[in-house]
Amino acid sequence: MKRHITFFVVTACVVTFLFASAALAADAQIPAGSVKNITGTASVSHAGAAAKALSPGDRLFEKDVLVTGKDSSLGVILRDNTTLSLGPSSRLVVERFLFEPQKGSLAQVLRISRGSMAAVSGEIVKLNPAVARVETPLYSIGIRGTHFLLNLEPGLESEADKAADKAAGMTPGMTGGVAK
Amino acid sequence: MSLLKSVSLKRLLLGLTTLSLLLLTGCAGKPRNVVQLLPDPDGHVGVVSVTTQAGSAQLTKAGCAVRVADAKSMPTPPEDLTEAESDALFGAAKRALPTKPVRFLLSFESDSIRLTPESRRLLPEVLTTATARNSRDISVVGHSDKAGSEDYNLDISRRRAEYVRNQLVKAGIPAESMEVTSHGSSNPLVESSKPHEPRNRRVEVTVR
Repeated sequence: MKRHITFFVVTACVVTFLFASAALAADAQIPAGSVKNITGTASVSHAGAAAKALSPGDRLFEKDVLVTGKDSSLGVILRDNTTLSLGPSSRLVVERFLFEPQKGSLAQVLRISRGSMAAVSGEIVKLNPAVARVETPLYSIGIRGTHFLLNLEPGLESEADKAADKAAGMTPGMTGGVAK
Repeated sequence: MSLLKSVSLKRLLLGLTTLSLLLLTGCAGKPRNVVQLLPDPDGHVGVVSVTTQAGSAQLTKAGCAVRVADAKSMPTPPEDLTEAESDALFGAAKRALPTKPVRFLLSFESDSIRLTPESRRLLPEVLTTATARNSRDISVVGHSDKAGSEDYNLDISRRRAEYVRNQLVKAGIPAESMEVTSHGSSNPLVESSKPHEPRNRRVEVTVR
């Protein structure tokens, strides 16, 4: 009898775990947004994978690293209708993006380590400004509405970011860095 | 020998060019780490705070900007930027900013997936907008009012969204451009004390 109970409990735990991980995997597939426009070249590295060139309509996900080339720019619309764009030789990570108002789950953390950006915030900032920010190597930005521009001097990005770009094949030439 | 000469001449020229550029732009000392606040597309002016390890500065006036020298310094007091400097710093990003997505609200008859006649007439406009924006990202989100159980509301709002998606596919929008979700009664358009609220019984189509 005792054995039966143990078996039941273990099975229940395993089943719960499987369902939970399936749910997590499904959540990870919800896009954070999509590419609206590109001039020049722009590429993405998702979860450390090799970089690939972006095209309009491509879906973007949490943890994506977006880079633009020299003389290039990229326009993006996130699922909460935040619009944002990167100028030339820029690098932005979608560190955190959660937009499920029905569950009260909201978060938006964007991290720019080089270049320039423009943004008009969307629903997340409207619903809860405390969960939205933009991080840079020098400062962070809190947004209570909505339209701002930002520029960074070259050479501020961390060694970790440089190493991640190298691993993903985002070479300085491709990302518009100064070729020596 | 002549090679050496030309190399040193090139260096001299480069040095002179850099110096004259510095003099021309007068940027000695002014940090180019800048945040500028602009009015929203609807004219409203928001608030942005810039925080370093030393403290925060707030931008509250349209067009004003702060500079940051390094992570350990306070942002500079807000100042106005000239158009020329703003354009040099962020012009390319500003021009690449996508225009605001266009949202359509489609209303439904109570307790049904029948569109109201006015909303049915909006469907061709959704198609026109999607074509004009060359949109490949359209979200179709179903909502209900608060009448009935939340399970029922999630179900009916999902069926409403699917109905709209099917109508748009029939009209020629590729199914892969659309994402369908349902929010039940949790994301009302208007807060209402009455459970039956026609304005909350809707499908929001956002053409990005």
